[in-house]
Amino acid sequence: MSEVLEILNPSYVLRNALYGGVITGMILPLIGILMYARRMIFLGVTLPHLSATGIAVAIFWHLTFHEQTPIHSDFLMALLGSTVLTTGTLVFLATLERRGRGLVEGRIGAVYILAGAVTILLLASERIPEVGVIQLLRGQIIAISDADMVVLLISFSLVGVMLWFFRKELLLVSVDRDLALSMGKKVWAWDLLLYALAGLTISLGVLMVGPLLTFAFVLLPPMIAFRLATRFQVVPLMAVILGAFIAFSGFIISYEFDWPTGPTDALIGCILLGLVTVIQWLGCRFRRMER
Amino acid sequence: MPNLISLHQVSIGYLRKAVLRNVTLNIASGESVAILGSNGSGKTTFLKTIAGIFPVLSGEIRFTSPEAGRPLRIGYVPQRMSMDGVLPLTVAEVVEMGTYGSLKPWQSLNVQERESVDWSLNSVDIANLRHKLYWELSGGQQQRVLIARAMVSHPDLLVLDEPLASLDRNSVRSMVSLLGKLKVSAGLTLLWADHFLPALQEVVKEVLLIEGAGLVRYQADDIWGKNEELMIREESGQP
Repeated sequence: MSEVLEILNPSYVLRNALYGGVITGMILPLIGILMYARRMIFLGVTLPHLSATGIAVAIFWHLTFHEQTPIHSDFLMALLGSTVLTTGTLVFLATLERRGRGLVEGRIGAVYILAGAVTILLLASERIPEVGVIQLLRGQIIAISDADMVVLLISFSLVGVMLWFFRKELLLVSVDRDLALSMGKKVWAWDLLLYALAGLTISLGVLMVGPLLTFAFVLLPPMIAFRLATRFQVVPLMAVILGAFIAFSGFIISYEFDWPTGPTDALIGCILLGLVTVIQWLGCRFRRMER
Repeated sequence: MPNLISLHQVSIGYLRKAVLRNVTLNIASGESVAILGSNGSGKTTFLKTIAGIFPVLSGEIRFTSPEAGRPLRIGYVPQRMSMDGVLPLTVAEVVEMGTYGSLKPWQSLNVQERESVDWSLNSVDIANLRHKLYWELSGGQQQRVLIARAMVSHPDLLVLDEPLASLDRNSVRSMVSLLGKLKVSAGLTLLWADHFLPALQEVVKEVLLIEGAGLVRYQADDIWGKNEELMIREESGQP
């Protein structure tokens, strides 16, 4: 209890890490819901890794052509590189998918391999000081400054507002593209907006909490919410609450036991999903036995 | 009756590959027209082009509204909405999607749209299912939900892609009867694709038969006489 009170104190030294983690946990599931609706979950694994590659490319570019080594202040540069690469690849993959050529999973798998290889090769370069970059790639949640926190808040607020304003259109083009086209909606424009929002959100997520937890936040809260919800309208709210709960409880547990925050959050999300699945399965069995 | 749709030398297809060529025909207000053909002959492509999902490859399609001052309203009913039980969309939520075409991006459903949803659910006799999850329903019920979604915009023309596919005999009868009732009560023009089914006779008065890469128009009464021949052709997969 004393740890919880200490963490909630506004002067707590790691408050930005806590707030940043919770906000990330609230926004990423909203993108996850739409990726789920589009059956793009496999892409959800690849995008955080691609985002990490974007960070590595941006830093490599900066250090090669500007001859500087400012690693801790490179949040914006890394965000830009990551967002551009993630959104660009998403648009490219989606365009190929719409044209119906080749195996979608095969292309996504190839991008995953390419992203992993490029990131490792760039990290092996003598130009990149390993420690600082690895911190960025793992998610610099502990080291986040007040200035980075402002960037994060503005960006996530923008994403949240856009997702709320355009929820009907983004859901429609994700669930039933043909219906959207028959209504005269500019589907390509809504697709582009969604990809840009996904690119920005996932890039921020990777910078904040790293690829593993980014994917966990994209996948687990929507999965649990879909299992619990009896109508779609409540899914976003449930997913946001679940994401915040996972981030907050994970932070407290990791602080208490001195565990790394990302894997702790991911583990809590998986345990929650497992619990909900088992309880629902037992409920079904029980109802069948009653009949 | 005025023509709602006029096609002039239209080529239809997707990925720039024509499936039907040089189609010229008119569909008048109040007609009930079925497009018949074997699997892969281009029925769905034709309907999707009329519904605005696929662009026309060449030629011209003219849409005329029965009322001056507004565009022709087209309701599109797909063969199936693919939802594998992941998304917990209720029947009401699926039908509400049909109103999104008339709403601005940031607008929520207002009283008028909500009344349209209620009217639409009632018109296809599924008001009692409104809180049920879409993917939990039977095939026939799901088809009714998709018709309700198309009806919610009060269309002039209802475009249906194989609404009777994978339904049992009783459901086919009840669906044909429902469409016949809707045609009269809502003043609809019907354009639908299907395989050759005797049940269609109740509603369909005109038939477009896909022959090669073209469409040939028949009076339904004339073509039902060819019933046996058509069914044999369809079963053997001949165009």
